[in-house]
Amino acid sequence: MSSPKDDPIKIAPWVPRGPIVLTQKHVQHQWTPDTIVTKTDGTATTVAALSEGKNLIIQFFYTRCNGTCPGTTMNLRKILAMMSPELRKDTVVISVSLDPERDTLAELKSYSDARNLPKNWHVVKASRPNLEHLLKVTGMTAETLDAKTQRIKHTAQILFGSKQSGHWRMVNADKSDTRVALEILQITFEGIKYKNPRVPGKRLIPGQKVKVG
Amino acid sequence: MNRRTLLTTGLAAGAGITAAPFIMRKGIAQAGTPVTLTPWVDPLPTPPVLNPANIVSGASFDPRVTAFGAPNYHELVEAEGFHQFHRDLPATKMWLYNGTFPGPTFINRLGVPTVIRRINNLNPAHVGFGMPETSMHHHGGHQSPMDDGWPLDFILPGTYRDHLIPNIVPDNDSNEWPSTLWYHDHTIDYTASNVYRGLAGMSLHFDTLDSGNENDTNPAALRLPSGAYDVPLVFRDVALNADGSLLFNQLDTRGQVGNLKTVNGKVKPFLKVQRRKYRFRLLAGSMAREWMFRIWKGTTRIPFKIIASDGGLLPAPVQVTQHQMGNAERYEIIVDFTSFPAGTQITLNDHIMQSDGNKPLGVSPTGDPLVLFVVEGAAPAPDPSRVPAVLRPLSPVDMTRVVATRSLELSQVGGIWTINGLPWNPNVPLFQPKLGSAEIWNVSVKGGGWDHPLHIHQEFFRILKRGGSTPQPWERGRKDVVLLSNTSACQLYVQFRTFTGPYVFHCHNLGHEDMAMMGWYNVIP
Repeated sequence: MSSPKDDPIKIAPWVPRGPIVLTQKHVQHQWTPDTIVTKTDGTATTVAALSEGKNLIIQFFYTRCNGTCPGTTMNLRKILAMMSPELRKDTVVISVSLDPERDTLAELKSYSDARNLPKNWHVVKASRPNLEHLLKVTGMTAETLDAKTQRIKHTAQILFGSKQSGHWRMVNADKSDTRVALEILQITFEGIKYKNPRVPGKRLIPGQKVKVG
Repeated sequence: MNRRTLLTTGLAAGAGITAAPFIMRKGIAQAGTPVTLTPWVDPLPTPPVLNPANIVSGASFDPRVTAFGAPNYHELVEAEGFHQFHRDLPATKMWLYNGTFPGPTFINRLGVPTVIRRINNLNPAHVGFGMPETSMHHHGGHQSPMDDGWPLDFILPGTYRDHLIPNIVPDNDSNEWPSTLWYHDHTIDYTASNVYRGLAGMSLHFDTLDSGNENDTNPAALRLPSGAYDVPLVFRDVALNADGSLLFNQLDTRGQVGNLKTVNGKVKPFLKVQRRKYRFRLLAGSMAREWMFRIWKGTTRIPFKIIASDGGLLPAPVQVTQHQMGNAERYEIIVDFTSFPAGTQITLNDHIMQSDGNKPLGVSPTGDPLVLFVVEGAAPAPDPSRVPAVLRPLSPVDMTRVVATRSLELSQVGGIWTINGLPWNPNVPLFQPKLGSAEIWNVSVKGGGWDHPLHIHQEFFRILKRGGSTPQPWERGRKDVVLLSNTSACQLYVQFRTFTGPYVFHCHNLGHEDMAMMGWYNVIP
């Protein structure tokens, strides 16, 4: 067939001819942003620095939450405990307060201590603008404090990913089966290579034509 | 729920017979350098046929792949490559089978086994969406569990694996022979991203009845339109940045809906057609999008005939003026251009309005034209093809084989897609049917917010009831996907023949499949 440029079709009047205009430019979610957060000891740092380039789990919560947060935190602890020591060592959890106006650093520390959270689990808060920015760049959602109910409507999803593989996923850690959540998390962090296929592929010899058999 | 981060489709809602421009809005996008795509400038490509590869002399196959006879050997290489979705767009980096998108078309003949040697040449250090350790499913194929694309049967980059397509029919019943299947990646948790990166292609099936030769002198042959007049149409939406790169939201568990609709990998292509009959093989090959096709000449709707569904030819053609398809469904249609004078321009439009993976928002009256057919020829072209009133007989449903009735409810539990409240668990089958038996599966959707195209591996099923009523004629044939909503529970007749072992069934909205809406059954002797 001849090139359409050489042989343009004269489009009939009834055929839509409007051009398609692509104006979008992908804004990649920034999973380990340089958003400034404050640790319970008052130290200012960033999400990126806290993640140390390791596998990262981000949870959004607030200490006064009597909805999904307690269950999410408990299940996240279970998931960490179920990990292999190697994977656990290579994983960082950051719990970010959705209620920075009320959650004091002391309350956050108390929350962490009461649950005996491990060293690689950071409970932090950020200024309101920084929190909003963090929510935006991670693609997560939360509303502000409802004055009437004193509750904050927010996602129960935890976000997790691997900077090395570029794989990011999320699960509802409050309601999900922890075994299922761990499997999704492991595949995200380690790829599926850690599993043993029933029939492994046969190795190709570099530079050699594939042989049958 | 996660944020609605993907682009809405300006196309479906905006397209009509006026010349309004299409502008993408919303989502995780922001204004960049606009790129204008002129419609109807790219010819519709046809995916190349997968040609047999040379077999090294004296070499032998594993006994598993020679069990059904001397195989027809092919090589299929998965590797990074570039594809241009439109003349005015830069090439897009994708993962391709043998360097093409869609991948090369498998040609199968009843009784002639095919071996596909799938070679994974992807980058093991790949960063970003997609998993370079891959599996592959020959969708709709009647094949052993070892060749079916079990989601954990992945191979690493730098390795290969042989897939046997035995090209047999259960019970040696040639009425079970299909006509249009497809193949695609089937990697656990990453099917959506891997298919989206480009790992999908068509698989066509022929036999003495449907021989692929409209000049066939065998009186048993149907002589349906063949050769250049037998055209696969792979419908697939994609989200592209203005620089042509793929946009994929890894966190959208509803299933991604793109901002551009493509046919055989092109945006708004044209096809010059002769004044005669054409066979079009339609594949709804998206991540999550549904389609409703109508064919227009200006404001006049052109009728067409449906001749086949997922599992092959129907008993008789069904004339319609529109047709809806859920993800992974295949239907074949006959369009007759004989009566249109040269220069007539006809469009195939999609009328579904859908902005996220959950379900359509509605039906657009004007629709979005996807392909432009330009009729050529001062006189009708020679057309030896036929569309007989009787196609392939449908073997009767044998209720005496039914030994169990099961219920499957598709729902969302705690943000995870489930079947009967259970997420994917590779260690525990949901059912253990007996080889040679049949079962009734009552399948339904809980919750009105979404649709689910349910796909069952290994055997075609029959839809006995949809919403309590006899299904439409085009749904009465052999199927492997059934599009479900909460108002259209279906009763299926499912058989388990030829092979024992594990097979999966799952929602073919790939976002749902990857987020655990998959179970498996284990056929026992």
